[in-house]
Amino acid sequence: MVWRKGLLHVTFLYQFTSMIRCNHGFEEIIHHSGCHNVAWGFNSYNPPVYKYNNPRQPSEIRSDVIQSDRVCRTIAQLSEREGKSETELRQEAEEIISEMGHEKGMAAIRVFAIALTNTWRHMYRGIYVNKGNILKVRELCKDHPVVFMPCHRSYMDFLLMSYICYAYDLPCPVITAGMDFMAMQVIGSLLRRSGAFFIRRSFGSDLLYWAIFTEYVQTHLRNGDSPVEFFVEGTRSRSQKSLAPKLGCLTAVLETYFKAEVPDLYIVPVGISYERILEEKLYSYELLGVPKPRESTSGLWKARHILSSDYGSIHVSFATPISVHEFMKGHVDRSVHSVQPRYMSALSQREIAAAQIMAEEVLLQQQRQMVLSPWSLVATLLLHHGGCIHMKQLCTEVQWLKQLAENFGSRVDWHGAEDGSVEKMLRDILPVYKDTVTLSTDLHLRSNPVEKATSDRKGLDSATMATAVQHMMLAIYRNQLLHAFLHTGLISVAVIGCRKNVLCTEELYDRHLFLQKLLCKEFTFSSTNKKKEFDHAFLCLQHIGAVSLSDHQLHIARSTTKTTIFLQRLFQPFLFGYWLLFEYLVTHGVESGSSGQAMAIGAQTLGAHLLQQGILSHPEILSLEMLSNGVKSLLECGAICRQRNRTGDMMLVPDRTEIFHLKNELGKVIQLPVLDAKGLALPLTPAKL
Amino acid sequence: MAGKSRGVVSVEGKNGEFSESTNSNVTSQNKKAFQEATLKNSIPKRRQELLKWNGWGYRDSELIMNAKQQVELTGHRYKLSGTVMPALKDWLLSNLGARLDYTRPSQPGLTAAELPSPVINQVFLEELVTSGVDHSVDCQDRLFRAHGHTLHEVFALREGNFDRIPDLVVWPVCHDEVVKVVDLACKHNVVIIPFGGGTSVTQAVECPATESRMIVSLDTSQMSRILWLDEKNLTACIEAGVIGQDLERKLEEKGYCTGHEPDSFEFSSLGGWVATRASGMKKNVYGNIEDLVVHLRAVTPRGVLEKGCQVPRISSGPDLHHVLLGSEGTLGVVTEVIMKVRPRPPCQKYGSVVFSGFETGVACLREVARQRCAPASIRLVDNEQFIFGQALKPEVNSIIQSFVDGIKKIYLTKWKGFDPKQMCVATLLFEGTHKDVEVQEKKVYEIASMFGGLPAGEENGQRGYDLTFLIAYIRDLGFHYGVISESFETSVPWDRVVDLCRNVKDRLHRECKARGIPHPPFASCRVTQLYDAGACVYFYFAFCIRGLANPVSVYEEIETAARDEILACGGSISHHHGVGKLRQRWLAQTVSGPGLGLLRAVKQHLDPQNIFGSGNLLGAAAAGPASKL
Repeated sequence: MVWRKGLLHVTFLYQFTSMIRCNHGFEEIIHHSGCHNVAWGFNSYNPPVYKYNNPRQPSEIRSDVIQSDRVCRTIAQLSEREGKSETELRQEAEEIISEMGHEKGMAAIRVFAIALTNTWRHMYRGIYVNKGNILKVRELCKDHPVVFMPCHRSYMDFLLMSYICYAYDLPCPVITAGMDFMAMQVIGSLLRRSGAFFIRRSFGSDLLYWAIFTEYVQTHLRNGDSPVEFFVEGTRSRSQKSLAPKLGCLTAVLETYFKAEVPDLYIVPVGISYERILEEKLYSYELLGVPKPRESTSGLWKARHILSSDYGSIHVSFATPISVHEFMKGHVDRSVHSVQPRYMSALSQREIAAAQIMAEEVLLQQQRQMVLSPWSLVATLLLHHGGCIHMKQLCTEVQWLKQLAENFGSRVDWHGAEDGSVEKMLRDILPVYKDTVTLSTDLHLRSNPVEKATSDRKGLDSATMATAVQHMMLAIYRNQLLHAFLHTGLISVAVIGCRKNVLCTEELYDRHLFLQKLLCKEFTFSSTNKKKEFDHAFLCLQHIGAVSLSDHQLHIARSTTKTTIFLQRLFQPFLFGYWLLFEYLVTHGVESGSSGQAMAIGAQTLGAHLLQQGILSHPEILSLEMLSNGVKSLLECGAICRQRNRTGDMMLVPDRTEIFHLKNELGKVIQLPVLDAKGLALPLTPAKL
Repeated sequence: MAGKSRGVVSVEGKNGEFSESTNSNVTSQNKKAFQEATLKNSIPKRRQELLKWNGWGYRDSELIMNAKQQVELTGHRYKLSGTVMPALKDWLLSNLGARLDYTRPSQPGLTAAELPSPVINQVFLEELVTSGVDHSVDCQDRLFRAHGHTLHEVFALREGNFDRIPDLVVWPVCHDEVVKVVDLACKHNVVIIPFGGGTSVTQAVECPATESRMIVSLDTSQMSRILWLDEKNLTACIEAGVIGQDLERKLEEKGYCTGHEPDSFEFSSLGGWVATRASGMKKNVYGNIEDLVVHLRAVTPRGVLEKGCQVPRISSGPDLHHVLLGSEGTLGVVTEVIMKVRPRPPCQKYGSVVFSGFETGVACLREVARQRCAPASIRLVDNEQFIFGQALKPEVNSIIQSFVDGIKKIYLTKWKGFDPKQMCVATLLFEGTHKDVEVQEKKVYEIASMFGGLPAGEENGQRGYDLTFLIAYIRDLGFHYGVISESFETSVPWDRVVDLCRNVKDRLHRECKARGIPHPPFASCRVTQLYDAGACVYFYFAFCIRGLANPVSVYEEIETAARDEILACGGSISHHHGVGKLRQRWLAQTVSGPGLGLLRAVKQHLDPQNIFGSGNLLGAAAAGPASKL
């Protein structure tokens, strides 16, 4: 649909090219006259069309789904199994699809384009995108179905993605969105009409829903109506680290390739880096267990003050698109589906395993696309220095940390400090975080205490909560850079925690592997390149002189350097968090054991107690996300087992022996606190859900 | 070891011409009769006298660029001989990126000096001479039987050479002579590679390069008689060396036909059809080779394999015919076949239907198959091939004709809204009585109209079938201008036909791009056979090799990728070309491990010494210990 072709568009693109941000090939897209006015929303928009596409309206897509083999068969099966009539089930299917389906059209997208430009110009200092890869993706859209897989850090993510697609003449994607948005008046329907489609949070056992969802995603890919966009993390990452991937949507996407319904698919991981996150406060509370408010239009209206705040800038970086065909070479044999109709054939074990590997790769690619903000460096250093640091020292250390990150292969936004004026740059960005930190007249940067923080959770008094929230506000920004130091960090943990004089590299690698196993739900590790990643990180540390190696022996004293100490401290909170979980499970796990959530809450209560007693000092250990990750990791390695209780409900039961063993292993890499009887004598009440 | 006595079987009284002795030794008198019979063969013993040594077909028929720089078919053999195809040159230049100033002429010929010297098993040769079986060590005779017509082989003829060619050619004239040759080969551990029409496209007659034993090419062309015709049962006993055109011509004299017309019909032999499980274009009426065969006789190292009766169907354990059908010369030589014959149909009529797109065309064919009303042949060509077909139109001499053509085009594209870049055509061939044909036509055009198909005339239909024999000649023209081409086929269930066609063509384009082939290839397909449960799909693939250092290996990589894609799309390893040496890597996944073991066990029992050592299907290594020499 081309509304108006004009010179505007040409000028618009022309101005883009003049605004390329020099260091990483990014260009700015909102602060220029081209998209200043309403006319931009009416500009010509000529996205490429997939070469095998048959044009369809959203309503046709929906009816194609209802008539698909997959849905028809599921209806027939369910009718047989549950005794419902097919008409009834078809009615149900119609309801599901009309609840789910998008109404994508250009009008809503244009409204968004205009509205967002004006809003964002007030909120953001700049939105930077890497044009080179976007243009590559645009070419690809002609020849292949494309799947956008951005990281999920904020509600802004999908708005940004569609906005950029519109700006660069990419076809706007259809987006899998949580049902929460649908209920929002006006906004819900506006989102739907700009390409969002809504899925229920959990529908694991609902076969009809699953069939319709799968078919709905796949039909878009088969016919290439629009790129499909979804978040492999499943939900926004409150902690700002990548979440462990959810495979449902990805397997549905990959199935079209596995069953040769498309010649190939391209997956485009996108890294989105925010200098300041819209939801920073909410996240800090949510991580500690204060539930998020329901999405509503009135809530959005109340939060409109955020529209006049300063949120710094955003970097959106498209990774080099991944050809699924190339990626899957050697992983799968697609011909296994030859002897059954394709809509019946189940995915093979190898295909599911390959989807997991693909998910990891996408997350790692997203991380590689991230641009670290100076603020994440500042937040890290503030935490390192107990929440207060002198400006002069901060400048030196920020510079040091930036170089370290770059040496390990990360990109750091250094806009405004290219000439070495770090302090000027920092002073320039600090107003963005005026709610979080204050620069006092004596040139000390301090994190602002949180005035009132109430919690309805027992064992978490408001003082503890306040400290924790204050801490979390910084921790989520530090988390933004952890992936850059992951492997070097874990090596450093093993080095610093070593009580011997020397450590051979094999043992070092073993401890590194142990930490990976333990933290598998906390961070993203590649399951296929473990050794390579270790070797690379180890080489990095050697080449910057952070560790000292001779004859395959690591000299511990000489490897205890500023860098390794710093890196070890980055990951300390996680290790103490997991230790806390172990202690809790060993002492209280059995009686309270029922669900992962209950275990995490129990451990959190114990953690609050230990913090108050001064046995632990990292308020982050109260993060329910971290503690739940710990439970999932223990489930995976068998230290927690699923069992049915007498009433037949599924219970989680910790295996003490296994947990003791893990604790011992952990003790080899970090000095753990010793709990006396007092520490354990807790006024514990069974956790409530 | 020899076959059991069959006695003189005469052809239904009056057809005395066919009655010949089959069980006696070849006396000098009989020899004369054999010679007379083979005189009627279209292809002489020294094939290279009549056929091209380095390409397809007759020496006198060739597509050339004439003085006016237009493509012209030389000679007088074909309907199109002497006609000019003015659009073909531009099609070659614009669709394939060929250039008139870039040519790759074939080498003039391979002399004796360049060809590998024969490995001679002296004792075998001496005994063969004594036995009286005709043979030759002439290097051109050997070279001609060293190859089929895959790209690999033709390219080797034009620009390269072979590492290994047969060491001797033998021409047995009847079943008993075959028995003698096989006996001698077993006795002296000599390899036999049966050779029929030489039209293999799976490298099946190529000699394994590592074979150190003497290799004998057993040319069946002198066994080309129709031994008897049984009009009561509508069967004929035919020697396996007969080639398609001779068989049909001889039967035509009696008012019959087999109706088996594979695309290679002019040159391929009955034995070859059996050995590869061939399929003819009119199989909807007559059946594929496995439907046509009533009885088979084959000489294996273990003895003569055949059934004791000639019945329409039998339940006697697994059907042994199916061990030989598709055995690709690895188990023995088929010598005689009792085959079904049919009275010649009084009416034959071409037709065509134009569709707005390939998908609707496939949907129409699917419906035709569902209603089981397919005419003798129905083929759907995709848009690329449709356009290609237009480029083959002969020069139009009359202004009125070109005016009419113009109107037709305007009607389709403007009036009916067909997109010239999407539309495709189904070509039809009806056979039967006039009344049958009429009824069939009505039904098929009715179904076609349900899918928006428009009848497009007999001429377009016929042109589609003309293309079939012309395509191999066009390939040679392409070679000259640095355009290499190949065809390959598969069979696939109905629900995957469209996806398979699209994916495979897409893969071909991408693989070419990935290998830096500057001009996009010609990748085209047609649905050529309909079955209840699926269809046969046939691909043409061509690209310009200008600037490529290793065109053949590049081609092979791409074809491999395409076959992987075919299997991923639910297609088969082959519908009728076979496996040969070309597609062995996919055999295990096609027939499963135990299936492969079964084939190996059959081979081991029938041919423990690997006398039939062509290495087809299972590969040289899998065939048995004897081949390790």
